[in-house]
Amino acid sequence: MGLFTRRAVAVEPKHLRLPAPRLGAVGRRPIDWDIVPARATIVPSASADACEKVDVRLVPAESSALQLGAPVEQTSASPAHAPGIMRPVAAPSADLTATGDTGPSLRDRLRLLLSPPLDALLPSGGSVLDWPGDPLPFQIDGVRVLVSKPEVLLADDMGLGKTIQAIAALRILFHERAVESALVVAPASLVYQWRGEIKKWAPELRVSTVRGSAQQRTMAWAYPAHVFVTTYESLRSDHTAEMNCGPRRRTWGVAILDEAQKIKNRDTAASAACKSLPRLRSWALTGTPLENSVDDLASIMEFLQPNVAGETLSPLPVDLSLVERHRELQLRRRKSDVLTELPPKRLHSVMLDLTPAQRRAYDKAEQQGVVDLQARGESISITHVLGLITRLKQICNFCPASGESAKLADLRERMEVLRAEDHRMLVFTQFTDGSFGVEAIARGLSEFGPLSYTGAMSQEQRHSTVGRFKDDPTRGALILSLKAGGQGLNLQEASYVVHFDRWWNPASEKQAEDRSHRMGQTSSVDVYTYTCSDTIEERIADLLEAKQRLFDTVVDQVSMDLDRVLSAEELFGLFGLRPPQKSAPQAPAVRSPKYAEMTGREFEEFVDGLFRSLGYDTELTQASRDGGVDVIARRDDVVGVTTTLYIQCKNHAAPIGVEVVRAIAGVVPVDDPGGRAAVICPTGFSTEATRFAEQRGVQLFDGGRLAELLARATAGSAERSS
Amino acid sequence: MSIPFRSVGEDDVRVAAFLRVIRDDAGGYDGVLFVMNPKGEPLEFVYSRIETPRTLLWRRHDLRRRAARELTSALFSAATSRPSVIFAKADEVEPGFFVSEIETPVATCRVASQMASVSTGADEQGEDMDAEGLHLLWSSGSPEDGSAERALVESLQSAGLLTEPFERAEAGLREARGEDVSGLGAVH
Repeated sequence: MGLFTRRAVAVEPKHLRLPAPRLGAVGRRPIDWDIVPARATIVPSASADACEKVDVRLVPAESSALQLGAPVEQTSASPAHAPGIMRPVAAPSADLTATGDTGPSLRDRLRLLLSPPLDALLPSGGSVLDWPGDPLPFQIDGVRVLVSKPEVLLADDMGLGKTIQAIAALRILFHERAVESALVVAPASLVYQWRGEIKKWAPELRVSTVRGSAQQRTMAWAYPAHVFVTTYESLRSDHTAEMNCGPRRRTWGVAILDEAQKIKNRDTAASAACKSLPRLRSWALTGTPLENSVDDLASIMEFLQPNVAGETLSPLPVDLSLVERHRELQLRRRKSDVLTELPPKRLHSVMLDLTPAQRRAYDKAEQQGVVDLQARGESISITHVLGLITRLKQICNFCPASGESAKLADLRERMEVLRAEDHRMLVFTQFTDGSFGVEAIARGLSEFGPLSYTGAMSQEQRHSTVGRFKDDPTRGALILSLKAGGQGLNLQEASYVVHFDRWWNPASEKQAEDRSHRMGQTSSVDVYTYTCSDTIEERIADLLEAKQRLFDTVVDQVSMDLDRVLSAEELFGLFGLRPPQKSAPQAPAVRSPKYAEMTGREFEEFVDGLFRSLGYDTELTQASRDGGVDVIARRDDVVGVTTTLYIQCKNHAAPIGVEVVRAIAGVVPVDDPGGRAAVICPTGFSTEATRFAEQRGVQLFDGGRLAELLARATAGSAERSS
Repeated sequence: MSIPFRSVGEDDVRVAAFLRVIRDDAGGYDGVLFVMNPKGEPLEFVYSRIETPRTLLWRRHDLRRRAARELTSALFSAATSRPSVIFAKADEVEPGFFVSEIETPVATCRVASQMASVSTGADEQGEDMDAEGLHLLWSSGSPEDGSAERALVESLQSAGLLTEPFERAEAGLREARGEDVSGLGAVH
């Protein structure tokens, strides 16, 4: 019961004759009680005491039993009121339900004012709503933000419960009647998960899953549900220019994009369909709002624009306003900040030598491939290079002739040890076939009861596979294709993750790892990444590292440094080739100076000069009072955001430990959002120092990165002089 | 032949009412009775106003007491809900009000901050809510453990809804009156 909530009032009994169920009927569910829209009656009740009464109840619209008081005639004041002593005020006779030109009716305004406050609804102890669990404080903060703001980019790290936060916020909005419908667009592999979580966290909300054949989807769009869950593919198919097509038939109270990086490409039909959904609120959920370039972010930000009419909006420019808007809308929490109790994730890079048969096959394929590329002359394209890379990566997995695999041999050894301790493993690979990918790995691990999960499987098969892996501890490994299984799944049952081969995108790899390393995980998670030495994989690893730096810089620091975007030059450079269109001046060979022969001050001056030649405005602090900072380097990037590095120079003979990094981490002024601490030490850093720096966003420059900077500085000056 | 039954559920739902009596600078009093369920969802909102004479013949204390009585009786007679507990602010309703001015079989409770200096009636039973910093002053004895009234109080307490609805009631009154009454308060 409730003034603005559910109340069923008996109407005239009716006999309903229900049709017998038909087998094979299209996905109909049992019909629950339908709470029809309220017809509220606000009755000015003029009792003898001249009281204004506002009483509203929910009743079926067709009912005639709602008369809580037809307008009651005005009567004179109660005899209890002695005339002349107290004068009751006459009740107004106006229709309080009326909505005039002046705005919402009094009933609507009171509904808002008298509803429980947000804090009483949030899923915390003592909430007036029944919640199935107690979210963590940062999740409650996320719910509060989602409820309060119409456009939100929820960019929490993977595994922090973005789905639950969104559902909790949805439930509150429905409870407050702030929204009447919601659309969730998610990757196909996550549809079941959304349904399950909604059922758990918002059981009173009806869900319609829009997928399957065109006929099924048409029916699903028309189903009287609160929340519609669909896939990007279904949305793209059903979204037409007609305003009454399924996705555009109504103005959605909330439109949610899960794994919103799916619309990173502005030019795809799915991206355009998402952006032209008529909606009052737009939420984008993704742990990786930027995968490759700033354009990815711009495309997501275009979705986060008000668009009640569902119009096609013009693209956003990639400039300072984008950064400001991003800063305004993004809510991002990192695991290391909010989940201090989450077990650690340990990263292990496993460098392997190819087996002799693999090496022969590899060398032959690479030599032949490079010859083929060179033979193409000016007609060569990135596609050709990518084709060769793919071929070489396959050979790094398995020898095409003998089937030998250094990686599989290592993996089998690890599995034997892990299974003896009842540990379980997720193995990710880019490939799905029986020669180089999922099936080949599963075959090689057959005695460990592996299960396979690929995009070739139906959604039902995938759902079943995940269920079997969760429920059956004898299944030692789940082999997943990175593309199909890298997102959204909750697989805390496994505490070991293996990247059998590398993917272009570190963000995708991290997403895959976080299938296991997420809330609910009780064990530490070990991630093993295979790299075959002296192969294309080793060269790709260097590129991945650079891309991770781009992600850290742009997403976490809300600043933009476009230098690290993967370029055609980098791709061709993997094979010592150049793109045909450009002929950049050859950078001269650079030799690192002999750091060991420098004094401390000389090393600081060297660093100062290095960053100046990289385009920074630098300031060498006084030797006597540097406060830990030796060089301050500032630079405005391409969109005008100032980045400041507070650098400590350590020209030590041995790698420096975590104490130095910890000391420098706190020197960035709080009023400098573009500021980052950095430590430079040619001899490198301890493992603990590196881990600490990763967690705290401190930039570390060892001898290798110094050489990179030196090369860039030299190349830049050579380019300018030419 | 009908099936014998008893509808279980809604009939058993206990609701709480929050009473406000607010004096304004113009010399009148506004009264609000805000009824809600244990989840804080509004069920009924009844409001009224009474204007008091500007005369020296009335002592302020008597005027206030009379206004509160007339307003409360008007609100109660107009309300259709039957709450299990009626809460009022101790600084707006005098001690003994629910005994000597208004008699009701419903459990009534004046709510006061533990920080405030509030006079209590001889027949009132106090109850401390230390976690909330509140005194509950029950006019006819505090509800027994296990009673429906006690369950309602505990439910409101756990949801932080022992005093917050007073604010909602005033906000609703302000909206209904179409004027800012935030500056109004009870006469002490």
